[in-house]
Amino acid sequence: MTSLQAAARSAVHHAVSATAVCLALAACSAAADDTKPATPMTRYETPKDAGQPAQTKTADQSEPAKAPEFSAHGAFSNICGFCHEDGGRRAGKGPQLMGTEKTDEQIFERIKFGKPGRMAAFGGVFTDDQIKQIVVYIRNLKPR
Amino acid sequence: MKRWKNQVAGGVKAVAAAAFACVAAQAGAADVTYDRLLNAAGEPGNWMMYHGTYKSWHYSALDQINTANVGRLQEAWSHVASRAYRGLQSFPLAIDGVVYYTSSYNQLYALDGATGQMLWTYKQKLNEDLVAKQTHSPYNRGIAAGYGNIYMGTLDGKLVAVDAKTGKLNWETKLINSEKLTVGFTGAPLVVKDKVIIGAQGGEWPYRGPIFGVDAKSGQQVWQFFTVGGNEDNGDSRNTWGGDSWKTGGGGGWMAGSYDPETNSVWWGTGNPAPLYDWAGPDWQNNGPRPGVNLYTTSVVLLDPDTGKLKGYWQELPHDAWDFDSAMGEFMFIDQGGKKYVVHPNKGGFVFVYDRNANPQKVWPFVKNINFVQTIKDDGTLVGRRDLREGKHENLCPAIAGGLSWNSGSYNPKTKLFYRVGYEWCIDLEVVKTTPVLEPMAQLNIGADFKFVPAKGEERMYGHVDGRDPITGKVAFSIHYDVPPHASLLTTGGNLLFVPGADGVLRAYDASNGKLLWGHQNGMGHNGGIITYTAKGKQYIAVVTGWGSLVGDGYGEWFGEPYASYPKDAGVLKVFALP
Repeated sequence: MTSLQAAARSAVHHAVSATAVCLALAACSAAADDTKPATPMTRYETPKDAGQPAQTKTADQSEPAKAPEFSAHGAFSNICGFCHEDGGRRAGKGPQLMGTEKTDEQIFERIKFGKPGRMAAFGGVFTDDQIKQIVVYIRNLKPR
Repeated sequence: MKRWKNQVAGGVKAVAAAAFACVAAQAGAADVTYDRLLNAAGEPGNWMMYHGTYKSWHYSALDQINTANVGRLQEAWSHVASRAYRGLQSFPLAIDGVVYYTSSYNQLYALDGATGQMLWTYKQKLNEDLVAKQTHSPYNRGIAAGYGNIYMGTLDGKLVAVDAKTGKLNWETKLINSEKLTVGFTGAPLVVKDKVIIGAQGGEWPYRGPIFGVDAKSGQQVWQFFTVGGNEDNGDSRNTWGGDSWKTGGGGGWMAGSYDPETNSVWWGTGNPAPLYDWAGPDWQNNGPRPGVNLYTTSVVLLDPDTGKLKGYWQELPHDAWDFDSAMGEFMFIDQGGKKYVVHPNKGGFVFVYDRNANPQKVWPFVKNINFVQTIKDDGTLVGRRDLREGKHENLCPAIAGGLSWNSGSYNPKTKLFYRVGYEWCIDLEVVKTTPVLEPMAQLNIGADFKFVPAKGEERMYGHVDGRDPITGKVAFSIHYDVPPHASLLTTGGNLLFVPGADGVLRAYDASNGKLLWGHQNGMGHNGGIITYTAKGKQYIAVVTGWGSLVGDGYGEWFGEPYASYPKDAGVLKVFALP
């Protein structure tokens, strides 16, 4: 097991801040990013139901699919989880998001604008508000 | 010897062309007629379509390089691709001394096969704003040649024809509304008679994955076949989807299939349905997001190349609830014991063996760790399905990346063995209810949170390359790999098996017994194609390098270094020859 894996496991089991591990939010790349140092700036307000399990309604079978009620967890199970394993708790095709050292702004920008050849830009899919909910969901991630 | 005669003829043609044109060996793809494609096996010095020939053996009879001398194989030349995000994933073509290949963002290169000198390059003008929003992007898996053109499917939903001599665009035809559906083309097209056939991306994507037939000369779309719910005359198939779920059913035919001239049938594989996982579990016949068997997803379809009409099909996994596409996997036409078979690997780890009318004759497992079903009978019946309800589940095998993957295997008619990479890995997952996102653009519809784990009872995830009887699956030999290769295989008449490793080493084995004969470090992993060809009478091996496919991206986490440190935007075409 590499030091990267060992540190990730340690973060999961002991729920410590992953300061010993350099984790990048260049999703679908486990390599360290070289963007600005992580200094938390704005913290988005926590909506009431952020981080709760999906409340997503299923489409009525007899109607065309409607736009779903938004939930960050639902977004992970639909879309994000393809690369960010276990609801964002584990690295896989993309880096681990739980305990990330990235700032809220950096996470927001990455979701909105993507990274060429690494992660799609989701700014057209989620509103700014929904992206902020995803950021809050990520911040609230705990080991299962 | 027949082979030498062809090569000499090709060489003479090339020299004559060079005498007239400022670019050498340009007679190539202009002369790729349908007849030549039909008889491609008779030109082992050329590789004229993605799978080599319509038999899809990924084999060449060339034996100038063989078990006796492969130890002296060395680099002859290489070509560096630009913007090679997610590495090179394509199969080059080699026609009359010219090598053509694609890299990411739909760039296409024509190179002198002997020297690597660039003859021309073509860069498609893409809707890059759209491409930035795609997940299964920006790579390209390959091209087709015919009628003076090199055909390529684009990320933003077009089929283009580039002039093989000059590299100029002859025509482009928009086939998919990618701006709305998000998906486009990444797979190679296939020339059949006077048509070019290509399939859209789209398994866990909420559309209906069409396969298209386009006129090879004019570029006019002639037909499309909807893999989900079929066309208007396949009404019954829509009844295999509860309610309107067929409208967002998925099922793309995203890799190149093949063609049987004896039955005039195009064989094509279709992708999984959407959402990928189904929270209704065992109640899937009547409940859940897509009740029913979901035709024609995770199926093998036989289409009339002239009309696109469905002639026959076999659904490998009815109501696929695991993402085990039939869209990947070559269709190998193999005769054995006086019978004619079509051998097709399915992503779930089983190999399906059909007769020429797509009736299963035998089904055998290529990998050890399978529990999504208990078994599949030789008539194709699934036994002991593991349907996963909403909630947590452990150790679903194989993992979502499959027990077999989209890179090709090989069949060697001399050893009579079928070679492929097997993946031994599983996932723990939690299935959740999801709803398709269609506005403003379609998005993935997975339906679960998952994480990769070794199979229960195994210490780690791993892979293997096996030589097996293609019909019975009997193992002749198995080469263990701590880290599974994720590239295509090649075998030759020189009795060689080439395996491009994830660790960057291209290895050559004795195809009869798996003995390692040669290896060369290419600088980074391989996740694409490998061919052999001749130029000016000399045999070459050409392999693409690069890393970062949607399977390979996980290797850094699962296997550590060097995978974690691989560049994500690099790719080189490497070509080898004897001194």
